[in-house]
Amino acid sequence: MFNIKRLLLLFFIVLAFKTFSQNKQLLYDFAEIPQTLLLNPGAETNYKFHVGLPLFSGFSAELGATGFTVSDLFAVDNRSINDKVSAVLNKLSTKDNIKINTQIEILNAGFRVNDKNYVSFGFYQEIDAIAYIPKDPLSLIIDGNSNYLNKNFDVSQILFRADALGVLHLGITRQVSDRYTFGARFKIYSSALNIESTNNTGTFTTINGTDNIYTHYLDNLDVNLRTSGLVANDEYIDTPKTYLGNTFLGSNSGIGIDVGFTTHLSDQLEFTGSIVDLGFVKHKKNIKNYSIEGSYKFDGIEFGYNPDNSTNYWSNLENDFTEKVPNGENQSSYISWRPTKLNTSLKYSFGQKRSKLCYDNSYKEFYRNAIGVQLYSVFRPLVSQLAFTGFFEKSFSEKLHAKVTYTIDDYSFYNIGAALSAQIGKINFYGMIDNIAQFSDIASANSISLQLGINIIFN
Amino acid sequence: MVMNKLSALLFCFFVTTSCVDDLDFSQIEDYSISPEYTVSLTYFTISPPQFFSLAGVQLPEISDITDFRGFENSYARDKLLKLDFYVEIKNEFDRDLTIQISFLDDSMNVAHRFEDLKVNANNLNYKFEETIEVSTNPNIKTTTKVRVVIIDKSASPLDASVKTEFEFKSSVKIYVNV
Repeated sequence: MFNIKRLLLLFFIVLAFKTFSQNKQLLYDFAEIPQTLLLNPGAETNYKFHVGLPLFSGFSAELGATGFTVSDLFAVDNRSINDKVSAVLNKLSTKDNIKINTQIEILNAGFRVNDKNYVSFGFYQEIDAIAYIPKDPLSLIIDGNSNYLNKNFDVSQILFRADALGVLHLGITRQVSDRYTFGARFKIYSSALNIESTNNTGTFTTINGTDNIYTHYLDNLDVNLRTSGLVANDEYIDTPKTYLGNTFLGSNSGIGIDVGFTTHLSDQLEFTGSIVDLGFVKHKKNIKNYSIEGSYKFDGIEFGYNPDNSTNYWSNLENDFTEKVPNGENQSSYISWRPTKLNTSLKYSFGQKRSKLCYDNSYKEFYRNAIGVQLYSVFRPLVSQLAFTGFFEKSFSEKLHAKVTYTIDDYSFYNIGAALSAQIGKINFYGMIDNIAQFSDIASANSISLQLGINIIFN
Repeated sequence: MVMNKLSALLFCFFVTTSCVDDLDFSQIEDYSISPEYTVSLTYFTISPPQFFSLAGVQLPEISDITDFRGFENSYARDKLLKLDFYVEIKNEFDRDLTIQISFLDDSMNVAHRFEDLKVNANNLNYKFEETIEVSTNPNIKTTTKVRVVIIDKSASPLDASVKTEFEFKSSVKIYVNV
């Protein structure tokens, strides 16, 4: 049973946090954790091989939206929920969005081929979704058009996409010289579910009319909804097992690459960069697409008062509308591009030097402290999103490393995160959490994100 | 063992350092939206010849009817609260005309009918409003047809050659509650 209140509850709970999507600023280039290779295949490694603890080697979850917090809506105060929702919706702009990203590694492993090359591979499942706030359509639903004569309700604000997919990957990291390390990773995507509505156009307007009291216009309407993996044989797929099965080498597959590098500009200065998820998925099975397009002017039903020729006005109206604003379904295959990410960092190491054991039983020296900056960008349907991070790294010992970040992006100027990586014996444990400053009141936080994992690393 | 301690330490840190203000998610049950939609309805312009049959006989009334399937959707039907109807008429005819607007169900029974609109001759700015509260007029939701009848009660003959017009415009404001 359709329950708009429950939908709104879910909508606002999700909306109440904000995410940095896949901006794993804490993990990037940190402590040679194997998972940093997924952010930069050109990251340096100094171990013989690693194996992630299956299902526990890498987990990350980030969700939320911009604009407000949970307590703006659900705090126990004397304001009515209607007033609070109105206030929140008034604050939101069409650039505000809801985003969810989770990744869970099923397998992550790697081994050193020789002194120069390290091969890593694995499989992870990812859910990535973004929906921009369709302010005008929401306003039309919540308020109606009566108080908005002459307003163009902009349908192009309907913009969302959601993906659930599995990623099989194989990468190689090659140390070209003491100064340069390059890497590349080949990915095979297997989409279990894709739902997207992008590049929509059109407006709906009501104005004072001439032939009738009002005239309604649909101008240049072109709205589409593409789905893959959602409907099979005209029935919704509702078995989680099917979705899970389709994440591994399913019919809706695609390819992508990651490339990256690390270079030492001096003994203490390191520069890195990477491009992640440059790829696409071709959807060709269990497709169900919907579209509607056209323009229409509606003045009302004009009576003809022709006693000799009665007219079926309603049918004529339906036929005319269908002819001028056709809608339909199809099962055409389509391509969805992955949200490509860019990472870059500049790190200055300083302080006391330590040495650590490397894969070849040699000892590599490293500085105990480092500071630096990172820049992150992800290409999203509306605009690219940028995040700028300053960080400080501290190595308490060869086996215990910490990192603190301060991130500025479209949403926040005070996101502080902390990460810890510890290796006890061959077991590496890492945990990272963002937005620590808001931990005293999570309900008022704009973002929550968490990453953790366990690896077995052989030096 | 050390791993367990470290995990426990991190867990305790996050649990003890994080907290939330008092929240009440059940407030959403009190949330409702009450949009108001304005939609054009029927309109027409008639001239004197339309009051004559093909045989040239003056008709005392003319009528037209349209299907209306707006209430076929049960969701729309259930959420409907109130309807405000607006009619604007410009009567250039030299006689009073009466308009009957009826809402009919599938069996052509009258589900609701406005009071007769009596428009005086040469009244160029006639306006009419009627509000239907659905709770007290639930029959309105059985409407599947709308009929508009124009009645000429004048005894004097109508001159078909006169270039006068009778304009009728209408709209409705629909109140729903979700």
